Amino acid sequence: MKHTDLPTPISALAAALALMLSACSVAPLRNEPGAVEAVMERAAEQRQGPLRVRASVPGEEEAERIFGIPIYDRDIQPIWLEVTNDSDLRARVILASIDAEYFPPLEVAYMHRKRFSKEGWMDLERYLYRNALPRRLEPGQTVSGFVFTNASQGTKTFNMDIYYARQPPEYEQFTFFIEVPGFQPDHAEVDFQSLYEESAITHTDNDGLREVLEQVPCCTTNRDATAQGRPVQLFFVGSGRELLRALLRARWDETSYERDEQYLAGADYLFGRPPDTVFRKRRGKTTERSEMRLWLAPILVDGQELWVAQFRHFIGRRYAIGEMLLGAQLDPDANDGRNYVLQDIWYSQSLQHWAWSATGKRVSKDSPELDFNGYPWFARDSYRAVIWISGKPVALTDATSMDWSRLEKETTSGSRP
Amino acid sequence: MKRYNPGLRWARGLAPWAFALLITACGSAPVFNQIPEGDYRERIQTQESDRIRVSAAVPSAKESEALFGRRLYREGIQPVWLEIENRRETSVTFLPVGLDPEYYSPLEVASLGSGKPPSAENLVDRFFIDKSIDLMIDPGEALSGFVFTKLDEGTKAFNVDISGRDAEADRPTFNTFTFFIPVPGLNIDHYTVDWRNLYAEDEWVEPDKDRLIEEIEKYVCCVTDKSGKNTGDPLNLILIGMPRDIYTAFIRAGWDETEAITKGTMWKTVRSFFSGGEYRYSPISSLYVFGRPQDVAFQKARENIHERNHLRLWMSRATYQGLPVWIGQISRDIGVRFTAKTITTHKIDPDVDETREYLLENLAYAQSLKAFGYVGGVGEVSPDNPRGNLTGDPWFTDGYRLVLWVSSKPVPISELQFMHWRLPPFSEEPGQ
Repeated sequence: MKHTDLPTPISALAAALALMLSACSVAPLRNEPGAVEAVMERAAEQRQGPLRVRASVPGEEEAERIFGIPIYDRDIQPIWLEVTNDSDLRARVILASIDAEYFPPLEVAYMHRKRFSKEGWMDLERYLYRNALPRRLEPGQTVSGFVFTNASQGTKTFNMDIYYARQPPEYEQFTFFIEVPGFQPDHAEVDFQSLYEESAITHTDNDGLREVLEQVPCCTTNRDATAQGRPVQLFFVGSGRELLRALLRARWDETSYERDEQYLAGADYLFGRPPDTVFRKRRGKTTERSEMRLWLAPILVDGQELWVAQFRHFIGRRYAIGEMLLGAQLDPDANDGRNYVLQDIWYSQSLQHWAWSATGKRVSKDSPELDFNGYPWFARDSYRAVIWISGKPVALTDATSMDWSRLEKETTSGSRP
Repeated sequence: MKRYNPGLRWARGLAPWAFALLITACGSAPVFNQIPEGDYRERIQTQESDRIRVSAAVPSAKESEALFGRRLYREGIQPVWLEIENRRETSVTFLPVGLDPEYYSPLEVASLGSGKPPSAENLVDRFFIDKSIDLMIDPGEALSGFVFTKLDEGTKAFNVDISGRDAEADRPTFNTFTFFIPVPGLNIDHYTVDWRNLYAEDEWVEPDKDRLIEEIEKYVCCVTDKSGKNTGDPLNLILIGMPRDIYTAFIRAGWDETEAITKGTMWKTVRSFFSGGEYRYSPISSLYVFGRPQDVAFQKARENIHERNHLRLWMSRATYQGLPVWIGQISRDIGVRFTAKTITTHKIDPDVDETREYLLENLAYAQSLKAFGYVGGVGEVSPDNPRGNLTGDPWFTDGYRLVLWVSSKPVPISELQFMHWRLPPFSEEPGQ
């Protein structure tokens, strides 16, 4: 007897219901194991010490052909990995380092059992079990197989730690960013090289940036620049590639909004255009989410790109239907969002330096401003956060602040003690 | 042999409030195994380091409702009260993302599900802003307020991270305060275990390493039902540690405690079964070792009640280097199944070694492990010829038990030791 027993009438009802739903399927497993070839061929390769890892992620259609099951429908994303151990020690792949909530192969098979006859299900079990990535590697050995992870949208980002059998423990860490077929992120459609004429670009350094940021408007506008939108609270210094990786490491998802007329008419504008790219982060429910809108600025800081960001946090609607009927709501507290993003980048180890730029707009919570959609916002202080992105992971204790302005608390009436 | 009584230490270490209550509650209300409830400020815990003093408390469901006029627990939101006192000469910053990366902003809590149009009057809720805590704490200042986090009902485990600057050394500082705060409202199973009387005084043994390996390899392969006649899941875990170490290690690794079976908890289970929702502390049926049901159970929920890992532990009569040795069983639920015998049951992943190795990674990455190793005792069971548990689920194994020496204090993985006890086919050591 495992777990709890339910009172009999209820269990009987449940059993009857389940029986109705699970009317046995008789289909055998029909998968095309050969379809994995294309996935393997495009694998990205990395070396760390005597270890070599190749990684690739099948898209939705590829996965369905390989496994014979619509695995993405269950929000499961397989990663194909090949590990070569050229050391003279045994090694162990830490599956939980790839995804702390990965799915073992027999669980994936069990989830899909109802599609198949008993033999079909057992074939699926056998196929997934045999093609799962083993944890252990002998010296000189190469192993390969799949790890079943929780699906994410867009570029697949994951770490992989491999330990040597040695005392004290030593390991190699791999970080992969892998494009997945079937998804085109919005930033792939923007030609960043041709956004600005060379003559329109301001060149500056870290110190000069402090003044240059005054050029960047406090807030976005509507399409024809007749009404103010919401504040831009953050700046990122770093290449597009570094910023992309930092956001992916912080578990932000890429998006692919279609830039149709409806989108263009309602979008926030900065530098005369809608966001170059939008990232999204979810808490689980679709209504509990945040978005980051990013624009490339016509400013280079010691040759590095400067990005302007607006963070917006959706609140107040528990269900998607509420958003449809009543409209989305945004957290009016612009500082809270700014503080969140700074910490988010910090805790995902991408924060090298930060500074406070007193170039924003202070708006008391007692008299909030309205954006062009009529949604309120306020900012208790006028500071915008400037974040220098690090391509390599930075320990929490190693991030440092630039000596610009000291962040001051709101001093107007109504401030908190 | 030294006289050893782990029960007393357990009482001191883990649940003094529960024991105190056992004593004081005589003759009063029959809820003898719950933490007193009414004012969260009576349960404040305080820590101090580097001239920063952090106090924390967690209001229960009822207390939160009284404080905020809303059933926040029902909405999956749990307020955590903090007071941060800065005794330095420079200001410091509290980082709520370190406490909960998915914390709720105060105005999000205020407006969640309000169904009101997004106007300024409706959205800028002074009450919730005033209740929340400011992030920056000036020199000499003590600030207090609430952070709104995702709900954890049994024990709330969290860090309070404070960033600052050491003006003299001109370098950044980063202080982490770790709290484990029991929250009233649940009937947690281990509150009621009478650790003192699990074994008679002359039953305890304290063998050396080799004798211990012999002893634990002799323990039965598998759990049984109450009659002891039918065997079930393999006992594939050995833990070493004080009850307090085990509790802290699992809570830190994201495991939840388990409620004892009562009418109330039964109803909660049924409700979550039909809604597919979370009841992370759901009672677990009893399996038997040493003639008694598990002493303590932990579970780790994933998306819904049907997908979780279960772990049961029994304190053995052996101690090793002064610490209790436990035998246990872990399984991963991969779905709900219907059986003639119990109507519903959880289907387990037949590859129980996979689940066992997952636990090793999970505890090691949570810095909850001091050392690990393997011993025999289950006996090999091949995938082609699996055995069945008490509800007929198949399982197979290489036959080894994973030995986990758990730690209350965080142990970096770089310090994790491998104990050369028995070496399974794929040992961690080459050439042996």
